[in-house]
Amino acid sequence: MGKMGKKSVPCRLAALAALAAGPLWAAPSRAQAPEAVVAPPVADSSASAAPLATAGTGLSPATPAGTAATPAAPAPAAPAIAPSRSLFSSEPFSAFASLSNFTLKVYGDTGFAVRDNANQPWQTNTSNADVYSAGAATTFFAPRLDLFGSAYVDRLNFLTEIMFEGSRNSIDIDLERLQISYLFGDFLRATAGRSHLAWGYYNDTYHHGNIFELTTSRPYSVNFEDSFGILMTHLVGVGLDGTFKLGSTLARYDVEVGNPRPADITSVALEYAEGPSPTLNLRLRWMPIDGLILGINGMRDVIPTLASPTPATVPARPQTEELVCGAHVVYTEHHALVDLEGFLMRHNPVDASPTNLSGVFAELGYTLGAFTPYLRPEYIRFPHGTDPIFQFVATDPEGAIVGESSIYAGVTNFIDVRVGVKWMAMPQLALKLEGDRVTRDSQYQDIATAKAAFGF
Amino acid sequence: MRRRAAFCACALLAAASALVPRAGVAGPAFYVLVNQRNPVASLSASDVSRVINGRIKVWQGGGVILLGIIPRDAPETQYLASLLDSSTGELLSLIQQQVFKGELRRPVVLQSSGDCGAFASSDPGGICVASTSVPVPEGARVVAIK
Repeated sequence: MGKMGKKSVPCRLAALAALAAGPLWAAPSRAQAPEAVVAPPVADSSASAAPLATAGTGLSPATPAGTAATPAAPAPAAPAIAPSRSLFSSEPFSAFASLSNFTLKVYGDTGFAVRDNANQPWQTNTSNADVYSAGAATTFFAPRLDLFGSAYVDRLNFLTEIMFEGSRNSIDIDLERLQISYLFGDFLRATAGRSHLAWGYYNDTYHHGNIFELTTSRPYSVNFEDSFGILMTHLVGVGLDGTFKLGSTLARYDVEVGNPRPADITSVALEYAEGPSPTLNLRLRWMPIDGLILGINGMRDVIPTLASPTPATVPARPQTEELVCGAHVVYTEHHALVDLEGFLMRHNPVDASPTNLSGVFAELGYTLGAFTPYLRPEYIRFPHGTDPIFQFVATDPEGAIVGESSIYAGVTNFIDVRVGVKWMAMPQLALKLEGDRVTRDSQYQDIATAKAAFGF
Repeated sequence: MRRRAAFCACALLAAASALVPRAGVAGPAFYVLVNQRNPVASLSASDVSRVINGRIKVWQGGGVILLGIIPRDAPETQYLASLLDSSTGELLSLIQQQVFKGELRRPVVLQSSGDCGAFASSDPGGICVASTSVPVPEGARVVAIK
């Protein structure tokens, strides 16, 4: 039997498995495999390669759970494939293969949303469709295209995310992540560049590829800077992280230093720091059993003074120290996702009274086949007075930059509750259907969103 | 009375089904292969989970862990997913997510168990799943799953 005959066995098994899995799983056909994968057998392969069942290891072959072990008869002349790294570079993990090991993937999403804002009579951003025009209750959107590039050489890793994203019905380009890291060992990895702040679980687990998220958009508290997020999302700086064994459990640390928030809090200080005090962030995690993460965070930032465009009538926003602490409890095994996160934030403006705000959200999901129904309630409490950073109005210095009032202006209790289902129709496509109620004190807005998030 | 009898019958049936050995579906057996120079003696399912979640990135011997996988619903991938008590879809989604996070080095794409042997023998940090119907090439070896 020639090599084609040998190849056909796993091919048939894969085809059977794909049939058994139903039409949701798209197994690439053999015909689509690159020709380079089929390498000629080594001349002396039959002499040097011992069948696994008689390899002399003394180990019992492992079998899939729930199946009986029936070791197949060793193939008498199984071809050994000549070791060559170029053999393995193919889709879907490599969007295009090259000798440089650099790959590029594309993520994005598109969808449709309908809102009922009869009980919320102001024009507002939401984290879903971002902006509704005055009087419009329905909208289609295709606001994001994310180019994700990655490469590695030995212990050096590189990754980047370049976003083409909608802003007021035009496209902006943003370098969302640009990081290079060197892995010294499990105990130490050094990273430099622009990355997601190691905060809680959600912030650096989910990035700009919505296909990986359960919901149609991020929680407000960890939303991106330009989408009225509360916690600092991106950090330009350096970080160290590592994992240690504690008995049979694992512990992890993350320490980061970087540019503080710029005066305009909806932007990221990607080129230079606007203030003298760097941001400091620390995260500690304990993973006592598989899938369970218990973590705490602490962060200090100093937000620079923001000058007023009309100083005669509106004062500048003073320099403000921001202190944040947080905790998270996460479980991600056995088809379940439980993510419970909370934070306390204190703002200490120069020559003004401090303010406190706090928030908590819980994301709960359970995967049944390709479907994951989910629930995510979120609550953010703002001070009764005005928080100097997040509760600006259109006439404030920040409002003058943004062009509108903050969605948190004048609010004490901000609540977002969403219920939905995510359907992984294919590994490259997630379809989401979600209902969302955003409540600002006694006013609320209902939003229904259907979204297709993809990654190729 | 009839309700109690029905309950007892159901309980007996459940107990019987738990005690009788499962006939199971006869299928191929699998090994986890690593490089011959990799000193790791055995791995638990928990270790495999940590590898795939990027919580362990380096072998004890110093080699950077590199996963090889058949990125479709192949029996080898099903076996790997079974170690994590997940489906192949969940496993592949998890892997892509960990790569996207930067926690896991992008896996090497394999097409067959034969590729796995060649990969494990060529990469000092390689780890993959192969069917026992394929011989272990020189330079690779089997690591026990506890």
